[in-house]
Amino acid sequence: MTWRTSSQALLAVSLALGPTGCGNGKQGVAEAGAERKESGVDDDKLLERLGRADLVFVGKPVKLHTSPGAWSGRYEVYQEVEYAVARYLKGRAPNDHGPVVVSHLLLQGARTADPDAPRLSGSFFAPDRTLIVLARVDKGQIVALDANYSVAPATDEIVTAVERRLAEAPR
Amino acid sequence: MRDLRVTPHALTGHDADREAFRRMMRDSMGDSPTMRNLVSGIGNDTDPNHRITAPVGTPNNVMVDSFGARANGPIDLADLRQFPQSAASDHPNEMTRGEQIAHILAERRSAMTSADPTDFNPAHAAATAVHNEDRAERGQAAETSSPGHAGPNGGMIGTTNNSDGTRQDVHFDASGNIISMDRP
Repeated sequence: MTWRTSSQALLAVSLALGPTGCGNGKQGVAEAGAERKESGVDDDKLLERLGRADLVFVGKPVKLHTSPGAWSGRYEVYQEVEYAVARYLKGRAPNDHGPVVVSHLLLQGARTADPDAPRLSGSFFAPDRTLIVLARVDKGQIVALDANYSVAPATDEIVTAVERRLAEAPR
Repeated sequence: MRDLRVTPHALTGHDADREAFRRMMRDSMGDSPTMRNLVSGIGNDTDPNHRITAPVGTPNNVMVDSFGARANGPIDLADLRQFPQSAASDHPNEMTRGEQIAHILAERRSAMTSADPTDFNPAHAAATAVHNEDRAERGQAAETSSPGHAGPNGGMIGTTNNSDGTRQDVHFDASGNIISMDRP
């Protein structure tokens, strides 16, 4: 069936309603989480993103900058994290003397986000964690590829898989 | 009331809020072929996997809307009301309400018709392309970027940069409510 007029199409969108109730923005958190492995990341999705990364490194978050205080949507909102880089697996930061600053997208319900407020998760980016980070370099700024699958705990398994995939990639 | 499981799209929220959003959509369709095409495309798509979700209300910490975990985050009607239906003659490049709604709907549709509805960046880029069509219809310069950043007193500033060098700063308070705009 097709809608003959835009008015009918509008009806299709605005009258095909489910149960009412205020959207609190929490829905979808569980859905995103359902895809995750116990380690906190879908390894395949991280590996798929390697080709888009200018930079891949293993490091520890040493400082979480202040959040701007809102989620991304109409506007792109980022919060910065400083890392002490242990080793680069691909590329190198434009200025790698001292901590490397990476901008992470603030996306409500994302793996890297605090579940209760518009900021990155303090436990995900805890200073005692070693993370693997995939990023692009945009006008000198280092930006994580996305909010869900471009940063993950740097387990031996995932680091080995990344190294193998990078070694296989055409140069 | 229909069952969500058998309906293609879900507009959720209080009755008055849903009606207000419907009215905004209708008004925007009236003066934008882009908006009419977008809504028609959504309405004609009966694939349940392409269902878009639009929770409308007045949420905190949201600058117009939040993409959410799966293109299903809240939409702030109070923010939408702050944008004019048409640009003022002395501010020809200012953002309109229709542009905002086009962006929100196009972003959700793009995400839900993609392989990964959780991936914000490609959906945001697609939505910007759609709302730039709306801007072109109005004789406005295309938007090239839309960063949000911290403002004074715990507030935030949403900036849109345009291809002709103009920009619009929208100032939000600490709760995410629009308090002023610097119109291009």
